[in-house]
This record gives sequence, C-alpha cells and structure tokens, in this order.
Amino acid sequence: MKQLIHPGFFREMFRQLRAKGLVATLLLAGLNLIFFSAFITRDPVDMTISHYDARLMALPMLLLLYIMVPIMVFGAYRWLNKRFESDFYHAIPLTRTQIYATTSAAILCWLLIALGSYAVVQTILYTVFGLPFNYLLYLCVFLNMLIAAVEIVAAFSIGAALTGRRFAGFFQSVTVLFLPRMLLTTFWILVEIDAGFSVPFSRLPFFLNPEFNIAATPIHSLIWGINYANIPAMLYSLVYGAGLLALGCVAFNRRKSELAEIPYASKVLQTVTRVMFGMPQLFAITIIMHVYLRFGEDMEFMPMYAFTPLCVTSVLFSFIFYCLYELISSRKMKKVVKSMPAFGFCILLALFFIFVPNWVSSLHSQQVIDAENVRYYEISNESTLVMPNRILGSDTYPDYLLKHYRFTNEAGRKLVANASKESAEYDTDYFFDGLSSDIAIVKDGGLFKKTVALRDRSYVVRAGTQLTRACLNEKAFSDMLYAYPKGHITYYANGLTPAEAREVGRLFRADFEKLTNEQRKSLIGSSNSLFNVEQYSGTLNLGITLYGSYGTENYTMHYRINELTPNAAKAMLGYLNARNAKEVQKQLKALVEWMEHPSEMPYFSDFSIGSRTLSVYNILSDSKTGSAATPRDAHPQEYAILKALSEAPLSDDPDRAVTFAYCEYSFDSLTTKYDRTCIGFAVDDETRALIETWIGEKSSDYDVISSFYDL
Amino acid sequence: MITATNVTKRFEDTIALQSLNCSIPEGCVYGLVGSNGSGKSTLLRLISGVYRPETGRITIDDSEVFDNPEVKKRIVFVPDELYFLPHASLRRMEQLYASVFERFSHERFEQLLQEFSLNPNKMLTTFSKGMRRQAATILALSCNADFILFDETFDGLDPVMRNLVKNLLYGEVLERRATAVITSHSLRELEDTCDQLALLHKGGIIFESDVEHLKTSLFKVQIAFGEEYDRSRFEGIDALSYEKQGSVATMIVRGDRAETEAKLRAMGPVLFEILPLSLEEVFVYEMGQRGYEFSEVLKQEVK
Repeated sequence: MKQLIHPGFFREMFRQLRAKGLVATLLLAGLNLIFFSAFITRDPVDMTISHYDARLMALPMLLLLYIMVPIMVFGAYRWLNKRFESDFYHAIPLTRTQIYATTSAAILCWLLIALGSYAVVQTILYTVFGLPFNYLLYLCVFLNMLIAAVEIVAAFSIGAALTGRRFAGFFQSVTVLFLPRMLLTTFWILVEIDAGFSVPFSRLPFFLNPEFNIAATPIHSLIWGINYANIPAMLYSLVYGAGLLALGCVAFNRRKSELAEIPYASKVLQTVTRVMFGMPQLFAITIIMHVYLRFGEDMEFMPMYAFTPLCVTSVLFSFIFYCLYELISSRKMKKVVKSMPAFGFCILLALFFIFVPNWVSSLHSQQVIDAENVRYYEISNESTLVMPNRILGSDTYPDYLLKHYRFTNEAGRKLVANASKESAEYDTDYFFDGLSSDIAIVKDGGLFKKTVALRDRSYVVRAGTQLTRACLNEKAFSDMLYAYPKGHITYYANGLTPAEAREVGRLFRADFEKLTNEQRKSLIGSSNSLFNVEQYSGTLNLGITLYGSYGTENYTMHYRINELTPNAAKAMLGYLNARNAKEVQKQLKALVEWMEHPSEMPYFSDFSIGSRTLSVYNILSDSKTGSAATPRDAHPQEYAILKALSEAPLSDDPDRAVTFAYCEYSFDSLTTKYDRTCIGFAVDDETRALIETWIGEKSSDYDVISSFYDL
Repeated sequence: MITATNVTKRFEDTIALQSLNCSIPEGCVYGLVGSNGSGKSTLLRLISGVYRPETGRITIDDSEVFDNPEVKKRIVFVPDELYFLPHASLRRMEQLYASVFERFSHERFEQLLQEFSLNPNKMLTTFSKGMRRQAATILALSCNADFILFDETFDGLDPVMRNLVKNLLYGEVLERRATAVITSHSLRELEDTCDQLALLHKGGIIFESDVEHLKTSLFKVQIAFGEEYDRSRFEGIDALSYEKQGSVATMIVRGDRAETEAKLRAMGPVLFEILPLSLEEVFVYEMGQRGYEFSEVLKQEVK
C-alpha cells in the first residue's frame, strides 16, 4: 500500500469535520477558562489561594470527549448510513484501509487541535497568574486525554463500521468501549462486598485498575483521582486504543457496502448490546443475592420474600430495556420477538455475577500471611469513599512520600499480618459499620501480592496509629519525612507578595536545615496522624506554604514560622508590619475605644492574637446579655490585652513579638471588607503572661482527636 | 475488458444477481436494460467495486475490482441517486476527484464547464436535478477513466443535454477507446446510443447482443400470393411469428436478409415488402422465442 493516509481525502475529511472540530476546540478552551476562574479565586477570609491543578480538567475533558468524539466519528462516517452516499465513497479509488485510516487521522487531528487548545490556554493561564506549573504532570494529563481520545475514536469507529444506523452504531460503540470495563468493575465490587473489604481502584492490579484503559475508567474513579503519570497504564491504554483502531479497520474492511440503512451486521454483537442493555437492571437482584449469600444468617429481620417485588420489577425492567433496544435499532417487531430467547443470556450473566465473585472472595479472604513472609508493605491513605486531597492538588509531602515508600520494619509487618488474619476471620458487622481507609499491600517473597484492608472502624483507628508509629520509627522514612521537601517549590504566605514569600521561603529553608528532626517535627505541627498536616494561616500563626512538584506529582506542605526559624520569622514580621501596622494600630485603638464607650458598631469584626480568634460581635452580645455595662466590663481580660497591645511598639523579634490580626466584615453581606492584617507587637512580660493565659484557655477540638488517636 | 464470471449478489433474503456472466469489451457503449429490481444498478456497483460479490468474480483485464485502487482508478461511476460532498461546489468536488483519480484533467473539466454552462463555485445543493446530473457527468468525464459507468444516465436531462451527453460519450469511446456502460429501464433511450445491449431479468442476463446485428437479423416481411396458401408454404424460412389477414401474411423473420428475400421472391408473390423493426419489436420477438413475456421483462417500457 503506497499511502495509508491519502492526502487529498484527508484534506476533504478534515474539511468536513471543520465545524465539529472548531466547536470541540472552543469548548475545551472555554472549559479551561471556566474551571480556572472557578478554582483560582483567592479567598480573602481564609487567606488561602485555591491551588488550581491540571488534573482538575481531566474529568471535564474526558466528558467532553465522550460527547464530541461520537459526534465527530458519526459525522465523518455518516455516509456509511446512507446508501447513495455509501456508493459514492466506496467507488473512490482508495482501499478501505486507506479510507478508514485517513478518516481516523482527520478525526484525531481535530481532537489533537482541540486538546492543544487546552495546552495553550493552560500555559497562558499558568504563566499570566504565576502559578506553580508542573510541566511533566501537565504533559501526562494531556497524553492521557489524547490516548483516551484514540480509544474512544476507535470504539466508535468499530460501532460505525458494524452498523448501518446511528442508533445501533452508537450503542454498539458504547458496548465496545465500556462493557469489558463495566463487567470487570462490577465483578470486583461484588468480590469486595463478599470479602468485606474495600480497596481503592488505583491499588488494584492491572485490568482491575481503572488507570489501565483510561477512556473506560469509571467516572467515580476520575472524581476520586487517578494517577495520570502511570506510564505502564498509559502504554496499556495506548496499545488497547491502537488494538481497537485495528479492530475497527478489520470491521471496516469486512463491512458490506450495502449495510447502509441496515441496523447491524453482526447478530452476535447485536445480542451482546441487547444483553448489556438488559443486564444492569438485574444488578439489584445480584446485590440482594450477594447480601443473602454472605450475611444470610444475620438477615432474619428482612426475609428474602420481602425483596420479591423488587426482583420482579428488576426482571421486568431488564426485559423492557432489552426489547426496547432491539425495537429501536431494528424498527421491526418481528425481530424483537425473534430476539427474546437470547434474554436468557442476561439471566445467565446475573447468575454468574451472583456466584463467581462470592467464590473468588472466599479464596481471597482465606489467605493468611505470616509476618516473616511479608517482605515489605505499603501504606495508602486513599479511601474509596473520600475524595483524596491530591485531586485538589493538596497532597501533603508526607502523603507524597508514603506513596513511594516500601516499609520493612518488623512492627509494621506484624500489624499487616494481623490484619490479614482479621480479614480471614471475617466480622459480619463490618459490612454495616463502614469501610476502612488504611490499606496495606503486601509482597511475599516477590511472588505473592495481597491487598489487605484494615477493616472495622476501631481497628483502623488503633492499627492505623500503630502503623503510623511503626512507619515513623523507620529511620530511612523519618529522615525523608523531616528533610526539606525536594523538587521545584513555589512559596506562598498570606499577606506577602510572591517575591516576599520567595525571600521568606529562602530564609526559612536556611533556618530549617539547621534544625533537628524533633524541631522540624514541631514545625509540621500535628504528627499524631501522619496524614494530617495543618495549614498555618498568617493570622493565627506565622506560617508558609510550599507548593512543590517533583516528577509528575504535586504536593503541598505547610510549615510553622516561629522562633525556631528566626530569620524567616523576622523577615515575615518585617514585611507584615511595614504593610499593615498603620491600619491595624488604627483599628486596635478604635476597638479599645469602643470597648470603653460602646456605640453603634459599624462592622462585624474578628481579631486574632497568637493562635486564638475572638469575634467582636460575641463580645457585644455578651455585654448586652450579661450584667456588665460595657464590653470592657464583660471581657476584662481581652480589654487588658488589647489595651496593652494598642500602646505597645511594633516588633519583628520572633522571640518577643505577639502577632495580632484584625479583620472587618460589612454588615449587609458578611463579605470581607478588608483583608486580614497581621503585625507583631513587642509586649512586656506581664502582657505576655496575660496573653499566654488567654490563649491557654482555649479548648482545642484537635486535642480531643489526638487523645482518641493515641488509644 | 470487464468480465463477470458466475457472479451472485444477495441482499439479506433477496437475490439481486444469480450466477451472472457477461463480458464487456473495450471501446464500446454497453447498454444494460431491465425493469426495476432486475439487477442493473447492482451489476454497476459490482463493476465499480462498491459491492463485493458473494460468489464469482468481477475483473477488469483479469484484475479483481473490489478494494483494488489501481483498477478502480480506471473506473468512474455515476450512480442513479447522485451524491455530492456536503455543502460542496463543483470546484471542491474537482479537488477531491483530482486527488484520487490520477488522470483527472483540469483542462477537460474547464472545457466541460463551458459546454454545460455551469458555475463551478456555486453550491451544488442549489442546482436543479438536471444540473446536478450535468455536474456529475462533468466530473466523471474529466477523470479520463477507461470505464465510465452511468446508472440511469439521462434521468433528469432535457433533450438538448441528453444529446450533448451522448455526443460526449461517443467522443470518449471513439477518441480514447473508453468503455461506457449505461443502464436504463427504457429501451428507446439506449437504442440509438449503445453498441451492445444486454437485457437483465431477475438477476441474470437473459439476452445480450450487438445492436446492429439485432436490428438487421430480424425483419418484418409482408407477402401475398394470387392463390390460397398457409404457413407451410414458407418452410425453410425462420419465421418467429406468422399472421395472415385476408391474403396478406406478415412474418417476423430471422436470418440473412438478402438470402431470405431471394427465397421469397422466387415463390412469385404478388405483394412483397421488407419492413425494418424497432429495437423494441426485436426484443419482443427475441424474448418470446426464449419463453419470456417481454411486457413482464420490461414492465416500465410497456406502461
């Protein structure tokens, strides 16, 4: 074959797809802008900036591909559905392979342009707004979407080649694209139900992992986030897409020209499509049967016959959907009648899904591992129920490290082995209690891989904490954890310009490098749970946020700035005092004045001293409801502190300064009128003691949680 | 040469062509005539490589046509229902044709545009049925193909345009030794156009012949004698039909005209006249001889 892609025919097909391609391009560019404007808003109250991430666009892009690709494929191949158009194209002196390859190339070329618009818009937005830009991750998302486009184009080309009407073509394409994945996912979900554990999809092996075959990834996996930098998964998806394209080519070559206006060429595929239409309605029965198979003895309160109406309705709906597809696609009642015996396949499939996952799960859960056979374990903080932080670009640095670390410590290996025993000694109450979130993946001698879910809520809490301790005690890991984060880092600090934040970041790093691991740990804050790293707002505590990117992954890390990092603290206070002092001192004096002589309060206001915040509105309420004559009388301790601060000089000495922040809201809408401002005051020892007492009075919710985790 | 060998084509439960055999020589105008559903269009689609035969072979100079661009480049097909690219003008169609037909001639295209007086930049959707047919003809003839297949060629063309198309076709055949295969359900339409004619009925060619031979091999004789006579008097004459009204007998005779005339004159008739037959009459008698009712074979024609 001289030319697989014929230039003249390509030009023509490209031209025919022009309108659709331009719409796709504009939609993708527009979606980018919408998402960007939605996520990039700076929140003046919380003083945080939403971290826009290239991955946020993946789901909308994929949804758009699901819509645009069928329109483009069926637009390009519309001649296959009209007899005289089909004659024209088939009479052209090109091989069918050339026609197919050229048309596919034209479609993919437009999709490349459309996805390119995403690339261009993202580059411009990141550049203009000076956001941390992880080029590699961004490239991976782009490639994933491109590969997904290949897969979708291929699936719909197969559908177009196998049918002579759009309706049938569309649904046969959907069958090709989603059926294998749907069956695999359903199978695994049922195995999970039976086995009583829940494993994040991204931790599943190969075919079960939605990252393999990105275009057919269940939507919920995309929402929960998948790893777009999974190179084997990308290669698999690409090969799968290329395979589907080749299959489409075979179907196109074997297609009879006279198929135009005839619903389907293959009775087998038509039957498969009908079964796919009818099958999902039977899942209700499948799940009920599963619950009974697994928990039958505990289900006396709800006997099987209670579900009879539901089961009958399921079968009825299944049958209706089954027949409806045949009727719409063939437009002949006679064919519907003829197709009825094949409805038995729906029933057979339902039976398969009732019994086989149950059998597989029993095999899985009975496997028990001894600690000495556990070579290493991995920890995942991904939950199948909760959207992981990473989709919003806020994986913490410890999270990032955990994803790539294999633990070998003995205490952890014992815990994992115990977890596998508990999995085998199944607790039936678990199913109703909730699902676990801590996952250990075990490799035994490199030959056996088992995913152990630490189930039962209390066990997760206890074992999770113990596992965390075991992990932190592993020196290689704790050295990494308390080292300064690696990769390209962009600094952010509330109240500072990017240049000032960069300078503070530089000083912070220098200070940080001099500290011991224990000191560094105190800067991270709460490390009772490895996965919770609190953010330091400039109003409550001085702190800095690191937006890092390493390889294709992003992470966010918050560090406290205090006397342990004197140079960074001094610089930060210096910047804040210089910018905010005048306004804050004015407001502070007005506040003191108001507490002494209350008048109509123009604003709802908050103020923060150190780590404690108090609402002026609450002071006002207290003074009105109590017996005190003025707010000063109602809150003498706060008054004394505010009075002392209003007379205190400014200070940027991290050992002595007390940070004060003030924020005002307008009456009508509670929207912030002024950004929170923070400055440092030099106070005498008496005032400092007063402030420390005041701050110490605060009862922390976090303390309660900590003690719970310390069980 | 186009050769169809034992070709069968089915559409679901319908057999469109059944074990069809035919040979279409180069450099002729080959007419395919038959009623609707007789398989004319199917045969053209098979020859142009649109359809693949279920059994048998369609070859051009011994090369299979289906999915063979090298052969298909030599064929241009103008179907009965015309199709042009969406929102296309003749100019855009020209671009596509020129890119896929190696021998496409832009000069010829421009020349034909002049002859048909069509605006190449106007959207084809705004053209009348006849103009669309002219546009398709311009494109087809500009391809300089060896085989030009026209399905219901003259449908929608006014008499002037019909003549123009016919003349252009003759030119293609005479000057380039191209082969034109044209179909029609109207025998009259093909009578003065084709060199060869084939009659398709129920998926098979039931009759195929050179038009000139057809016209001369059958003739009508009117004859009368002074004495009483009957059909037995004409032994040795191949009379396909015999009718006698009064003393005048009318016969359709097959055979060499001069030889037959000599034989009959030797019988001493008082009235003797040889009359030419229309192609339709020839077909009626030929079909009758083969056991077909011509009105059934060409229903449209009779109506």
